[in-house]
Amino acid sequence: MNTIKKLFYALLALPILLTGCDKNFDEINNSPNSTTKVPTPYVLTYAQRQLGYNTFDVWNSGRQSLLCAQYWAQRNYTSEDRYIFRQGTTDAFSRNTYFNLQNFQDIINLNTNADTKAAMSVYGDNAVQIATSKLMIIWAVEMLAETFGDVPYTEALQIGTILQPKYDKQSTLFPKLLADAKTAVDALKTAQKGWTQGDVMFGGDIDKWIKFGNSLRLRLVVRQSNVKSDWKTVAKAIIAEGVMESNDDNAVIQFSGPGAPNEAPLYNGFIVGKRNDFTLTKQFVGLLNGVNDTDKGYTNPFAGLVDPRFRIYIGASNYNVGRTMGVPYGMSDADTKQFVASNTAKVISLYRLPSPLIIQADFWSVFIDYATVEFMKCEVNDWDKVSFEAAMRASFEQWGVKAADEYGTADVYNAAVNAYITGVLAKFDAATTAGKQEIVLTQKYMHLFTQGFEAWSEYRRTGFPKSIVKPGELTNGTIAFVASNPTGTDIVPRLLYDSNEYTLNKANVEAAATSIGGDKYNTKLWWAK
Amino acid sequence: MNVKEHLKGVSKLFALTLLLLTVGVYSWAQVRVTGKVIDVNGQPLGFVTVVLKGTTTATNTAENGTFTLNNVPSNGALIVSSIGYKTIEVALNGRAYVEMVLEEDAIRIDELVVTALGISREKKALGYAVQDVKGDELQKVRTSNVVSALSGRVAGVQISAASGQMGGGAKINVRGNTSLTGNNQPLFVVDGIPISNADFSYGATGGGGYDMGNLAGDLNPDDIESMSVLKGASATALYGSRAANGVVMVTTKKAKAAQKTFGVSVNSSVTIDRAAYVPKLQKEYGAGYAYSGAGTLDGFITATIGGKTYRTVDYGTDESWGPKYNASVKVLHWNAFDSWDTANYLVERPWIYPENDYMTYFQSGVNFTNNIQLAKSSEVGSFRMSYTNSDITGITPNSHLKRNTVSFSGTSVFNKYLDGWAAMNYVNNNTLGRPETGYGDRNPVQKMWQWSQTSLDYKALRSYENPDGSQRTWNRSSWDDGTPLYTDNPYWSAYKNYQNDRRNRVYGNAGINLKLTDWFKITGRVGLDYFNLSMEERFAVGSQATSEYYLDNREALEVTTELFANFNKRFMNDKMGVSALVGGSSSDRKSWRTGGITVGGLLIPNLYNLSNSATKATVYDTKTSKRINSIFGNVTLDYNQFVYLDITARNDWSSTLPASNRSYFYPSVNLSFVLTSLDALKELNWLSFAKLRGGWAQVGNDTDPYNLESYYTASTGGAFGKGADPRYNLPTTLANINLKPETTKSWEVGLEARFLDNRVGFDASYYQKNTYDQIVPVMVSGATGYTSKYINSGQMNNSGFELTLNVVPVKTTNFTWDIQLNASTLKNEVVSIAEGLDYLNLQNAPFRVKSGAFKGSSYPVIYGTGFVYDDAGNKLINPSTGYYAATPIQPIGNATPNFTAGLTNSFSFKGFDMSILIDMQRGGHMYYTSYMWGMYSGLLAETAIQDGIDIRDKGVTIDGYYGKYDAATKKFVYTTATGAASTTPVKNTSALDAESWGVYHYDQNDESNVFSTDYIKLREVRLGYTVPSKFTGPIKQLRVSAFGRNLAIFGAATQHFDPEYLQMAGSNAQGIEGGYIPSTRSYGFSLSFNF
Repeated sequence: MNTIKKLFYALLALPILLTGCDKNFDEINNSPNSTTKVPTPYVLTYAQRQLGYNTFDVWNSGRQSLLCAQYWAQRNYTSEDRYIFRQGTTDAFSRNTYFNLQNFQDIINLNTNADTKAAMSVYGDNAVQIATSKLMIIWAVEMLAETFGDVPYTEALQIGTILQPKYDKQSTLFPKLLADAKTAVDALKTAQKGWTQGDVMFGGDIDKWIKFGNSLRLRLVVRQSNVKSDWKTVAKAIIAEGVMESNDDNAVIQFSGPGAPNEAPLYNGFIVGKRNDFTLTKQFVGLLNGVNDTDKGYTNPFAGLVDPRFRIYIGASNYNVGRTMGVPYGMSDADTKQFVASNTAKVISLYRLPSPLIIQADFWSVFIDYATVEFMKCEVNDWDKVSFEAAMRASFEQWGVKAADEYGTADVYNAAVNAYITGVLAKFDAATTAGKQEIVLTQKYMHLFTQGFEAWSEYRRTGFPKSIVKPGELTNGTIAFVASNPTGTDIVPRLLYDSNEYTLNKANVEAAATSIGGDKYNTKLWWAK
Repeated sequence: MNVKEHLKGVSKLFALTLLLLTVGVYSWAQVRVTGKVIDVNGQPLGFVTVVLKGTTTATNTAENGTFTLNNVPSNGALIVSSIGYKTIEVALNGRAYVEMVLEEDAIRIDELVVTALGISREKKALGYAVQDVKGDELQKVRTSNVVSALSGRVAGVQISAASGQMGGGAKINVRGNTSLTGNNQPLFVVDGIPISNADFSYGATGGGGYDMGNLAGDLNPDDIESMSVLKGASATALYGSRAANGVVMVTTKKAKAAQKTFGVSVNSSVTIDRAAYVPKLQKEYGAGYAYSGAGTLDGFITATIGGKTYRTVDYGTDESWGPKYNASVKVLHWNAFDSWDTANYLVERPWIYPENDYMTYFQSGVNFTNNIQLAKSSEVGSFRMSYTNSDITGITPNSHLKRNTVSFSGTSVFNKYLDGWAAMNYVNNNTLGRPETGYGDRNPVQKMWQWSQTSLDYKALRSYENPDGSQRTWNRSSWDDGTPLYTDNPYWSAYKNYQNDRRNRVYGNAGINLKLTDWFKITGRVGLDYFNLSMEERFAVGSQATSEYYLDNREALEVTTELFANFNKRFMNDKMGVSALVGGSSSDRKSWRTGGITVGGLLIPNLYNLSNSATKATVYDTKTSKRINSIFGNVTLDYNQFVYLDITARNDWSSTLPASNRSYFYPSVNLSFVLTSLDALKELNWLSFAKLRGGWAQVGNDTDPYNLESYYTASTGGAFGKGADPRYNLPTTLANINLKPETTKSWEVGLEARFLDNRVGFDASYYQKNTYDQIVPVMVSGATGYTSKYINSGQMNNSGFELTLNVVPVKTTNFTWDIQLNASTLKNEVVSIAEGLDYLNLQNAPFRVKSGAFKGSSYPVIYGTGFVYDDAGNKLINPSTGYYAATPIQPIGNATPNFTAGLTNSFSFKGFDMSILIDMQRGGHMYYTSYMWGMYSGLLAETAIQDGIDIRDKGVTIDGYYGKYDAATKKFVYTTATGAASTTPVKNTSALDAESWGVYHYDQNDESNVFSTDYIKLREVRLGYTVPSKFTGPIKQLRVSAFGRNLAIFGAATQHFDPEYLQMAGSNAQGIEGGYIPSTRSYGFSLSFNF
């Protein structure tokens, strides 16, 4: 009986252990090794790097904007070259950009919320954190608007209150982005303490942020040159407020070497992913080498001048062995394969080692650079030669940081640069206004290599460079560029909206589609020519 | 009074009550009765229950079958019962010694089934559907995953296996899916204690991944006594949250009460698996494209080597639109460019379909399984030990799985009040070389029928390594550069880029029963399930991809503690029975996961260690913890064994829900009438048994840990840049602090009847099951900055009929023919998802379609672009492409079949037995990524020959009228051949060239790649012979058998795929194939005996 008594006590004790049926539950449901609170600089670093990485990787730039801008072509499967874009890639590009922007929005929220703003001000003025985050959001939303048309902005990034954001009409979005950028810049002008850490773009330098903000405003104004008659006046006022003045002011994410997260996105695609999918187009190579395109019937404004950047773009590993041939843009899979196979020793292979600069692990991603600003100043000031030369010199300086790798010494490069600039300026001086326009905007295109979204936008705004092969035109001998998704007589003006929106935000995306003239590949955007 | 004194007081009171209740007063003429119970062979039966009718006086027979009962009224009757035997009633008529013979019960009316909490109940008392499968059914035909052995055997249960690969998973659904994003598989319960059926596979919709198998696959058929499937919420209400999708109750073998002498049994089997149902490739055209123009010859690209110009096979293209085979054309194949390979260097060979084509890659899989069991029992206890060893090779090269299972169970009777038990199982799995499935670099079949060349000779490919250790693949970068372009040699993938994993698992339970009286019992028990799993994946240096090593360690522990009291008594002259249970439990679940992946390649080749990473390896480290506390109760009342009323109630407290919502209650009520207990029906000789039943239940469900607050993520790869700036980012799913539990409400009715001395019987049910307030990470517009947000929303309804039919057409002394049919229908509807949302995405396929829930449709749907039909049902053709026009994305197929059935015919003749199982399903669909790419790349048979016509010569003229989808009216419009609007239909007359037709399967119309998954299968045939014991001396039950599984498919929609198979079992995202390993046909032999 004694055993039973003991056991009975033990059994009775068990339910007592269960009393307080939810004792410690809050603790149990609190993750022991992750956190709900982090310092804003950690979020900033993530978001800046992520925006600079995703936008310029082999999917979002490589299989979209860099193809649209015809800097490069695919060596094997050319679906996207012919406008059969992978909708999944486009969807992810749109969504991931917003997901990333949510981190900037989080910084804004943490610096606005009364419970957290005091704690966060340790890392820089609340106003600075808010303004700089806002500028990054504006930069990205402009890119999305120039890719798709109307996009959510005013109602975006507010999941607490708005699950289905409305799309901002382009004609009101651009002025709004401009106004918000001005508000941000104004806030920065009166700020005291910049980011104390985590700002991997400007190291917390408020002045550089102001110049970036103004340069972004300038770009937004210039992009509206076809639709706003007073754009030059507005642009000049912004220039007077202070824009980028040297390559030191460039808004770039500088990658630092192999290994995630430090390696540059194209390095990851080519070297880590071991994919040699892309090479420069025949058209771009021809432009850089000062040759005319007889297939298309294009006369190169720089005929006879070889751009010193060509060797840098393709690298010594190609240049020194005579692999200098580009692939004609827009051919079918079979024609492309045949072209590559029968020119196997001549076609540029960006994959070759040592890697060309753009494939290196410590390459950079550009949001806006000084050269672009000077090109814009040149345009605003009616093709001003001083700005044009400054723009070219800024470009050569930027691209020439490792010129010794391609030229043996930087001096050889500099000599080639001076000779080239002299040659270009002679052609500039001799040109009509229209000729000057073509020379400047074509140079701008040659500079913008790897900045696919910006170059694609500029082509759509200005129609330059004329070397771009349009659907129906001959790209190689008798072979024409046939776009599988018809876009009329010009290159693709936009990509299709995130297809998920048709289930998740149906009314608004349908309204936007109607507003822009149809969610189609051949719908021209509001600001485009 | 302190606590101790208080308890002492309680115990005294308790003992007194006990005493009062157990003392009986008898007024009959009392005699002492002895007797013996034997079986039909005259063997004594031990541990048989002998009850004096109308009383609680009872005893058990001893090992030698004898028993003694004192104080028995001389005119009384004894009721003798034992599990597995027919219960008999014997009137004493004044006898003092009785010998009674128990017959084995073939169809047991008073069948005991194991129900919630592992309690055995008479099946006739249940108000809900339960169906069980005996362990010997599972042992007679070996399957590598015991779950797939249930296929066709239980009505209302759908089993789908994930491809034919070694150690792969099997998905089980009971009465359909209920939850939009939660786990939709039933809870597995072993001897009353839940165990994990987790599945760590990834790549469910065909992005690359591995099928790791579901953990219920650890259950060893040799150790299973029976498996009962508890289908409805009524049946499972006592298990709470996790049983909302039904319960599979597994009862493990114990030493049989009659196992009085030390017994040994041995079971050995060998099974051979052969790849079957493999996509059919065309044999007319070879690699690449048919080229023309400069630098080509006869369609081949030429290479000039050493001054001579050769035709080269297009090693750079992983497609087969190349030149037609022609033995008189001589070409250089991919292996003719390596000067070290003197046998092949610059050797031109005829352009013919290879002698050793892709089927050469698949080998015979062999499964050897050996089991030995030892058992003994006595009055004071029992023990059983079992050891099973399985040695399995897969159908792909370099694949191997070894499994060892040790099982022990023991019981002990401490004294007349107290007994206890302990059961432990240890399982060890060691696997090497599971093939990758889906669109991954290591999947051999992705490189066989999605992107490949028909002209590859797989015997030549076996030389996958160059003398310097680098890879030799057919997909060269150029003729003078053998580095892989896109594609690794599949043998390189198998031997160098293999994965491996090992898992150790211990599960079991221990407890005690305190039998205070024969009608009141308290049970306390503890169960645990612990496993650790270590997975490794690798890419060797020299692969197309950057070399890589991935290590993933998981560990999980679940401990369940239960205490409950059981009350069982009959009143009112035996007319009224009360059975009640009340108790509480606490369940703790913890998991740990750590691992990492190398970054930037491996420094030293073939060294697989995270520290051998070129740059800092990425690591991760997560922990989760969850607790559910519960109290529960159950009362069953019966009147005269005619009406049974069963009521259960349970309340859970889950740590995963917010404080205000974490307690949730759910009840169930069931009623059944045993019609044959009515006097009026008792007279009907032809009616053996009839029961009408009905039930209603509500079950709640919680969520996963940590869904209430948003946690930042330490960004992959850590700090950034020269300044080593730390990085943290927001999650893309927004947590919700206001979640409340999900609710499933269900009801069912059923009728069960047997006729003609149990020769014909059926059991029919109809059920309805609706789930509300689902906890869903509902997808939101990307512009909100998030992918999804946790909310309570959505409703899913299920209803269906289930029928089990048993017929014994022939039954003689020597010959029996037994037929069992199981059939069920399922009507599933996603009633709502969330306000303003018609579609909830579960997963994207890597290229085109998605799998998700669509409002108003069955769950899940395949979501993509579909055919445009005119009013007469003709497909419309886009005049600008000549291929089918497409709608915007919409549901284009249901992943879940709505009708399943299984038919078993069993025969026994003297020592021979035979059984044939046929099963079928209807109403489901699958999107085949392999079909899409196989068509695109010119590999599948129909890209060359259709209806005997070479379409590469003649082209394809598809049937239909010109037209398109009109977005404005959301209807079709006819057009002319040039695309102008047309009021009348214009028939398509222009032929598409074969390549365009093939390529259009990729981006024109997703429904082109959707096929029905209807099938009828010859699932299983088994033939056995049990040698009569007179020939076997000391050996008993010597049985030899042969069997075959998955022997034939009838009615498949395509010649390329086994319609049964899934990409991956452990996921809700179904309906998308992504390159799965072909299914297998299996043949086996087994031998078993006892001594």
